[in-house]
Amino acid sequence: MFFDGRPKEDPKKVLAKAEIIARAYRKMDPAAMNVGDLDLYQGLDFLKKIAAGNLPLISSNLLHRKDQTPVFPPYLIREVAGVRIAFLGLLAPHLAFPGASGLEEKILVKNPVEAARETLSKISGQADLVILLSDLGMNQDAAVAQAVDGIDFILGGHEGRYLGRPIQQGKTYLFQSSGKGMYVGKLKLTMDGPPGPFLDAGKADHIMKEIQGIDRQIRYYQQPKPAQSPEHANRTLQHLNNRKARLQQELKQVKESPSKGNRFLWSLHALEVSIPEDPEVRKWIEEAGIQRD
Amino acid sequence: MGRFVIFLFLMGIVFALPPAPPAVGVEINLLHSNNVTGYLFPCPT
Repeated sequence: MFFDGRPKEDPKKVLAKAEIIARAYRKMDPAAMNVGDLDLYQGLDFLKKIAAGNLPLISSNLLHRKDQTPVFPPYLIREVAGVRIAFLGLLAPHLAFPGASGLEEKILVKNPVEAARETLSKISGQADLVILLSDLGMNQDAAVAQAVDGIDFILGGHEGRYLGRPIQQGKTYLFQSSGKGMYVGKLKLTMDGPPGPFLDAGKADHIMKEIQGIDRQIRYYQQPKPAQSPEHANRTLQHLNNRKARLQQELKQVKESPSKGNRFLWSLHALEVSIPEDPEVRKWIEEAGIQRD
Repeated sequence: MGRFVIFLFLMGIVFALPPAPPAVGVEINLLHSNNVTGYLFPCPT
């Protein structure tokens, strides 16, 4: 949130922007916010001041170096419509700017898998649903999902991937919502049973879209082209048709499976430039004398 | 003493009961955004 690494940027302007971003987040009233490594760029004292101003910052693996106590709450539990949702937060052990504002001397980042296991054991029985907010990146998210039982969803970041459909790792679903605040990811949960694994209600749509994409490629390779050998085209067509057949079989299974039970639907929504700005936030930006990024 | 013991036993049963399960048929929407990276002005999507 608070990082702008462009070398020629005025540090006072960067700090002013960080404070405006923090105010804007407070206005949005989030349920939970995970600390990422770039959020530490303004220093630990700045982040603690931000958190004290009623921003729900969490981190399950950011510790004080001195006594290895958590810098922020390792988790939050929010109850929504009778469902207790636990939020955990993780960042990667290798900080992008370990020397920034004397961070290395003040903090250490615990191994994410160990921290996740420890936090889950603390909250055992207190939550119906566990969501990990992660700044680890997709590969490490998958490693955590594989190593740690009990996480339902991982809402990831750090890389800013545009993921229109989740990646499944065992019983855990992994998501990312693109980057730079350009999109918001919406995870719609329908709980039709006791707490337990979820099914992807959008899976049939994803498969159909993939089949449509394959059909387009099949039409392309069916048309003879001077620079393309017939053997190569035939091999490609065979591969595409095999893939299409597997997907059609998978689609049939998905459509035949029960539609009841806990399920989710994931979608990404563009925060278009055409969406009206919040006038109060606009005013803060103008008062700070900031006209452009 | 006997009545006191029964009272404690009953209290133990109440506290040992699991919490009520969440209501079924519930829909919850979660919105997630990340990596604002210090931008105040909208980035083109």
